[in-house]
Amino acid sequence: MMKYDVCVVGSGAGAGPVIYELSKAGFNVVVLEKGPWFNTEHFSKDEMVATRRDLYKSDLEGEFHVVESKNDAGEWEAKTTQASGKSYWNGNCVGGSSNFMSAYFHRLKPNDFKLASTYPDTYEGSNTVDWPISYDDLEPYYAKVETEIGVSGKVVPHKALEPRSTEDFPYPPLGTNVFGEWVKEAAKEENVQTFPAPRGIISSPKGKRKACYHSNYCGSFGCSSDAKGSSRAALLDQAIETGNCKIIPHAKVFHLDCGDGEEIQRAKYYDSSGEKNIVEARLFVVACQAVETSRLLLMSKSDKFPNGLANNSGNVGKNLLFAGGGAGSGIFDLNKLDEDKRKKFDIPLTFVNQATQDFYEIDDEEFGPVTKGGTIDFLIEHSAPMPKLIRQKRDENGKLLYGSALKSKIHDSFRNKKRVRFEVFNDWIPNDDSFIKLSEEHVDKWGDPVGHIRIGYLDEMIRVGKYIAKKATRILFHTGARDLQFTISGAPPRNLMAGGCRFGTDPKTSVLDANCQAHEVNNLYVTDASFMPTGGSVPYTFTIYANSFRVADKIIERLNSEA
Amino acid sequence: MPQIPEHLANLEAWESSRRRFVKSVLLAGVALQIPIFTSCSNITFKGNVKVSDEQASILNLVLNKLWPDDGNGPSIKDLNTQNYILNLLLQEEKHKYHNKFIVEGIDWANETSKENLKADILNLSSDELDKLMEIMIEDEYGSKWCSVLITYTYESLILDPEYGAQPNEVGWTWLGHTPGSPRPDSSNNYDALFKMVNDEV
Ligand SMILES: Cc1cc2nc3c(=O)[nH]c(=O)nc-3n(C[C@H](O)[C@H](O)[C@H](O)COP(=O)(O)OP(=O)(O)OC[C@H]3O[C@@H](n4cnc5c(N)ncnc54)[C@H](O)[C@@H]3O)c2cc1C
Ligand code: SF4
Repeated sequence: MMKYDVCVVGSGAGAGPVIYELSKAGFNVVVLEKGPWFNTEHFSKDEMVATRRDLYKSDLEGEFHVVESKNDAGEWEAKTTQASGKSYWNGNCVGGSSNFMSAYFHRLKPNDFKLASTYPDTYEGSNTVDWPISYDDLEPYYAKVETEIGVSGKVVPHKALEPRSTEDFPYPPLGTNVFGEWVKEAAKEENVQTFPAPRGIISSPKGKRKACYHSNYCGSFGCSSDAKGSSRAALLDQAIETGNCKIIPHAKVFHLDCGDGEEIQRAKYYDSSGEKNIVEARLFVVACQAVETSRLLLMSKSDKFPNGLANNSGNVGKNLLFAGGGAGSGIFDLNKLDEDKRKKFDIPLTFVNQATQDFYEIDDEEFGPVTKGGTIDFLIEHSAPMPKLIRQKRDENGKLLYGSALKSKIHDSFRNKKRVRFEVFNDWIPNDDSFIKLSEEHVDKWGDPVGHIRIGYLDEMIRVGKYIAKKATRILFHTGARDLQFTISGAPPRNLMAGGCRFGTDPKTSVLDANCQAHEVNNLYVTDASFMPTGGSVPYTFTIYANSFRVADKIIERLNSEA
Repeated sequence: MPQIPEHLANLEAWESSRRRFVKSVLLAGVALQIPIFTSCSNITFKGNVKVSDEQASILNLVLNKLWPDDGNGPSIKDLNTQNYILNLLLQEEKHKYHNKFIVEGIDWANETSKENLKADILNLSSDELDKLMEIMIEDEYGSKWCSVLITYTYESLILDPEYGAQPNEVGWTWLGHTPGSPRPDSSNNYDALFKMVNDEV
């Protein structure tokens, strides 16, 4: 049997850089991906596939999660995602959920690497710790992502701008709706500065990838120009071209097998017919997205690891993170805009790309001592019509509308109204009640225990989120939007997850070392967002990519030194 | 009283995440009987193995109350909604929908009519039908059933005509909606990708 240099489990954002760099460096890489292999041509702007039947995600019939959260009485209540309908799968195919992201790409700030020591009062009593690496260690890799994956934007000085080794983004900003200008001006009225939000989307061609043509449906949909920096388009296609990389789709890994030793000897996977197969390799890299990565390690029990692989310390699955915060919105009555404004605003171009990080640190006496805040991104609602239709279904009392009343509400909302939005990102503070373990009751279609997720959050996260959301709402007000509202809650954005295998210097309190190599298993690395002990106040993918490039360098160094 | 499937109990969640399943047996040979609805097809669906002619008529009646032909935009007929739904019911493997819930709901609507208005739903006067609709909407089960039918009506309003919905793009035109580009075709539509997901190609 062929023994590969490296076996990578998963093929999304966390896996892509390792696959790409190692293949380019001449190592034999095999990739096991549980989903199918769609090419660019398979993606269209089809709501039936993308959102109505969720075909890009694993089918809840056979694969689901158990999710436990507190009910109104404050008691923990567990429900399967089959019952709730809220899937924790985000994209299961070659390239993973990175195919379907919106690609808002903000870097972490230097303080995000040392939250515990910077804001000791805020985080007392939580599981917040400093990272074992600093911003300076990751900065060159953020720069690398900007060129290799392709990030568009424009650097403008602002309060929270992080240090950069390059002057500007390699790709100029994408075209935006005039609403971006309105946000910029409205923010000034609140003495807030906005800046062009960077996107992991290229605005001019790169190799075989074409520039973004603004297809009108971006987030949740695959990209037909390859402008979106998915792992598939930006990295895997080129890895395949090296001749050193083999991707096996429909390969669901269920066990990383150490035999009776302390190192992984083989990955065991089910193929599409349910047959068991094995792959042997020297090193194993896991990047299944946070929840499934921890689950796979917990499932991989052996004599030496009776509690799951790399889990003799009992840390695997702990300190699961999501993005804290929430979202808000306002409505424009198009009939109240003058002709010129309406014409410019009401075009099928939904990119706004204005953000502010003026509240990344909150320095406001009324709020309390200086503390960690977050990011606001401004948006126009997605063009895909179904979410907008669903919102029209009920009257203000929650009663189902039907008949002519429903039809005229729908017509009015499409013809005369436009909804603008903001999203708030602040830290999901790590705590004992946010974790993943194996379910003791439920199994998937192969008979393996499903992941059981407990979602616990601290009130401080909500307090910070609300503070920022109020600021964002005031800005929306100045744009002219009305019917303003926001929701900040502990309900997690299921597409933005991290943690579970935090990295650190102490094997007693962390799963991975500073290079994302397992403390307990010499030939195991984890390169999705599982490594993050804290997540920062931005979406995670830019950092996932950067860290995976960093770890790829460490693995190459190691393999070269062992050669 | 039929049960609301567990996954529909939280309707909002279902609406934002739809690929629900209802365990049901695919009738042998059904796949071969699936008629191809094209954008110009607007025939009344006959001989559906899942739904009797009477049930189909009740469905049609309710759909037209939920989405009336009132001169404001396309009607159920214009959108081909009934055929669209009946067609989905036949393709259980591909559209693991709550078929059972829909069909049970049809019978429940008729029972509710008999109970409250002392007549079959198909024999109600227009005023009586209005009354029945209000009774159904006030009822937890009835409201969920109607809500699901509205969601399917939405699908027939805005999904690509590729799926037998909104012939001649009447839905998009009414809403002034510009679809995303590229649009699906036979090489990458739901059927084609469904096969890939199940490793059948
Ligand atoms: C609609 C949407 C919008 C988003 N927008 C943004 C955004 O604007 N900005 C941002 O930063 N992020 C965004 N994200 C999140 C982003 O996609 C993820 O952060 C990122 O893709 C995570 O990378 P990953 O490698 O952890 O997981 P993925 O990219 O999901 O890859 C994991 C892969 O592992 C595979 N896998 C899982 N288990 C196994 C197994 N046992 N065996 C084999 N394979 C397995 C999965 O099928 C999957 O393909 C968005 C996501 C979605 C869905
Ligand atoms: S073309 Fe542009 S807008 Fe369309 S999916 Fe790709 S990146 Fe998004």
